Amino acid sequence: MKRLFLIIFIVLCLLSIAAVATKPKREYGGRLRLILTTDDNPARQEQIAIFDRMFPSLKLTIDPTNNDQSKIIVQTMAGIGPDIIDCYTRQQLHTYYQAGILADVTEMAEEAGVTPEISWPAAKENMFIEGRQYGFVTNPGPWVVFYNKDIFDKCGVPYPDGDWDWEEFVDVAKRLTIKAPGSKRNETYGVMGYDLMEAIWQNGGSLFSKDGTRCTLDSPEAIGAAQWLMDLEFKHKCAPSPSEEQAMAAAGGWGQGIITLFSANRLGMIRYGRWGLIVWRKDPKLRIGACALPRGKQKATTFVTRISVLNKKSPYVKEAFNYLKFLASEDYCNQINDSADNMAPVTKYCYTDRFLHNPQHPEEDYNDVFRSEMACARSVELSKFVNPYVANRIYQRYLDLMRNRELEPAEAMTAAAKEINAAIKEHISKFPELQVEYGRLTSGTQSQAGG
Amino acid sequence: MAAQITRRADNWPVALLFLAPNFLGFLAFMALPVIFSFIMAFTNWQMTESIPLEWVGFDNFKDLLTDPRFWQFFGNTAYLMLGIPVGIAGSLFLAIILSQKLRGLVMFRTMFYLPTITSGVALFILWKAIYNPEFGPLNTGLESLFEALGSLGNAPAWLLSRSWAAPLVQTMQGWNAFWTSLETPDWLLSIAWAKPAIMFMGIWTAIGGTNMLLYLAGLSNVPPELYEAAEIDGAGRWAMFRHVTWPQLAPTTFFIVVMSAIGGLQGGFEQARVMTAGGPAESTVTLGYYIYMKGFEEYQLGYASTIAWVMFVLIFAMTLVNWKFGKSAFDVEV
Repeated sequence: MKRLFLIIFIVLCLLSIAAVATKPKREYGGRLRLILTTDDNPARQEQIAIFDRMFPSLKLTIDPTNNDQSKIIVQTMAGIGPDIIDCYTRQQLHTYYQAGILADVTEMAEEAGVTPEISWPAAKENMFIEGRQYGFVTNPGPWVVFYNKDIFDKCGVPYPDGDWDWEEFVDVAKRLTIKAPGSKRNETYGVMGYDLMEAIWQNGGSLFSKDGTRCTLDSPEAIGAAQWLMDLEFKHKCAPSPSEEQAMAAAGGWGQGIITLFSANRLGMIRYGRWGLIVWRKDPKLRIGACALPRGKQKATTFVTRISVLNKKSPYVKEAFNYLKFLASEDYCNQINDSADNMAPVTKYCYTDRFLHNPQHPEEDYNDVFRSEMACARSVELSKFVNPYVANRIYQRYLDLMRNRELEPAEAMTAAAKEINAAIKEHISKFPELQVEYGRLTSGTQSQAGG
Repeated sequence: MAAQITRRADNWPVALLFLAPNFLGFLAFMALPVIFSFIMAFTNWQMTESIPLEWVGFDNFKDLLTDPRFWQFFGNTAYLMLGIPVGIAGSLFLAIILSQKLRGLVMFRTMFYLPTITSGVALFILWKAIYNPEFGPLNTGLESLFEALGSLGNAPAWLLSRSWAAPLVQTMQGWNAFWTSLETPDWLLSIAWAKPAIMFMGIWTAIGGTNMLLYLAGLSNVPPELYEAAEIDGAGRWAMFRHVTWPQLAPTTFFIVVMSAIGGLQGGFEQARVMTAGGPAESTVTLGYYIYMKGFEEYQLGYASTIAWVMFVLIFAMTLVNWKFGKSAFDVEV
C-alpha cells in the first residue's frame, strides 16, 4: 500500500512538472507571443493571420477561455493577465479602468495616428476616459431595421426606405403581423427586438441628465417612449410579449434568439446590427433589406462596438500597442467590412466601393444605411456617479415589471428613476471627491435633462 | 510493543508527506480563503484602484440588515425551501415503494437516481423547455386538460330547448366558461410563477436523489422481526409505517432534514443562472446568487463576503435549531 501511495505521489509530481513545462512560452519560433482575450469566432483566425503577416516579430494568440471580466481583473492584478483585452461594452471599459488595469496609450496613439479622429463620431467616448486614451474600437456600427422581403411581399407592403416615424413604423409592423390559421398564436410578428433606451433617445429623453447627477427616466419623454414600446406588444400586438418570444424561439427548432427567428421567416422586421449578415449569408433563400430605425422626435440609434485595450501590467505594452495599429490598418478594416463583422473602425475604409458593393454579395445593396446611421449613433449612457451595473440592474428590473404588466410604464419609469437616484446618492457617499463634484454640479442650478 | 511504537514514529515523515498535498490544498483553497473572506467582510474591498482598501468595522453588516434586496432575496430563498419537506416526503414514499420486491427494481432505482448524476445545466435546460409557456409540454397538457374539462359542460342540443333544464344548462355553461377562461401560467417568465416553477423542479430532482438512497439504506436496516411482531399484534400497513418504519428511520430523516436545510439556504444559484438569470425582476435571485451579483457583477467583494458570512450564521443557527429540536422530535441519539 505504501508503495502504491508513493507511486501516486511521484506520478502527481511528474504531472505537475509536465504542466509547468508545457505552459505556453512567450517565445514562439523566434517571435514574441502576445495574448489576446477575446471570443473564438471564425473571423478571429483570419484576423490573426493578417496580424502575424503584418508584424513578423510577433505572434498573436487568443485566449477565449479566460475572456470573463472577473477572471481578467483577477489575473491581471495577480500579474498573469493577457497583453490585450477585448471589452464588449463601454461599461466593461470603465470597470477595467476603475480596476486600474488599463494602459494609458494616449502618447503612443497620437504618435501612430491611431486616434478617434480617424474613426466614427461616437468612437471617442468608447476609448477615452477622463481625457486619456485607453484603447481603440474594433468593429463599430449602428443598430438598424432588417426586414424580410418575402413577408413584405406576402402582406403587400412596400419595402421601407428608412424615412419614417414611429407612427408609420407601427402601421407597417401591424400589417406584417399575421395570425396563424386556426390558432390563438401569430404566424409572424411585425417587429421584434426594439430597445427601450433607443426609443427614449428617439423621443428626446435620456437615462441621465447631461452632467450625470440625476437619472431622468421619469421624464415625460422616457415615459412616453416606454408607453410606445409597451403598446407595440400589448395594444397593437405587433411585437411578441416575453412569453411569445420564448415560445417562438422554441418553435424555431434549430436555435434560439431573434437572429434565427428572423431567418425562419417568423419576423417581418428586427432591430439588429450588420453582424447579423454573418448568419444570414448562409441562407441563400433569405431575402432581406435594411433601413434606418424610425424617428420619434429625432433620429437615434446605439453605437455598438468592441474595444481593444492593453493591460498596464503586461511587460510588453509597447509590443501589444501594435495590435491597436493593426486595428487601424487597411487590411484589417477590409476584413471586417468584407466579413460583415460590423464595420471598419477607420471611417475612410467604409467610404469605398468595396464596402458599398461587396462582389461576393451583390444582393447586399443596403450598406449605405450602416454608415449614414453612424451620424446619429450614440454611446451607451454612463454616469460617473453610479456603478453602471447597479444602474443597469435597476433599469432591467423595472423593464421586466413593465413587460410582465405588473407596473404601468409611467409607474415603472418613475420608480426606476427614484431607485437609480438613490443608488447615485449611495455611490457618491463612498467617494469624497465625487461628493464634492456632485455638490458643485447640483448646487444652484437644477441639472438639465440630456438630449 | 516498543518496536511497534518506534516503527510508527518512523512512519511520521512519510505520513506527513502523503498528507501534505491534501492538507496544502485544503489550506490554499479552503482555510485561507475562508479566513480571508472573514477579514474582507469588515472592509470596503471593491477591487478598484480608486477606492483604497479600508477597514469599515461592522458597517457592511449594518448596511446588510437595512438592505431591502437582502431581505427580498432571503425571502426568495426561504420560498424555494418550502419544497424541501415535500421532496423529503416524496423520497421516503419512493424509497418504500422501491424497497418492495418488484420486477425490474434495479432499473427503477437507476432511473430515479439518474437526475442526480445528470449534469445540472442539462436538467435546467430541459426544464426550461418543459416550462415554455406556449409550446412546452406542461402548458400543452394543461390546455388540453382545461379544454377537456370545459367540454364536459357542453349541454346536448335536446337539453337546450327544455325550459325546465334552464338552470342546469346555465350551471353547465358556467362550468364550461370557468375552464375555458383559465389561462396557463407563463412559468419562468412570470414574476408570480417563476419561483414556484423552480421549486417544483427542485422537488422533482430531490425525490429520486440521494435522499431516496439514504432512505433505502435506512429501510434495509429495519429489523424484519419488528414488522413480524407488529403483524402478529394485528397492525395494518399504516400502523406498521407509523410505529415501526418511521421511528426506525428517524436518524436518517434527521440527517436528511439537516442537510436539506443547509443545501436549501445555500442553493438556487445554478437554477436561476441557467433558467432565468435571476429574473423576471429579480424574483428568482437567492442569497447565493446575491453573493455572485455583489462580488462579480458589482465588484463589491467586501460586501459580498459579508453576505456569505451572514448566510453562514443563518445556516449555523438553523442547524443548531434542527439539532436541538430535531433530536427530541426524531428521538435521535447524537
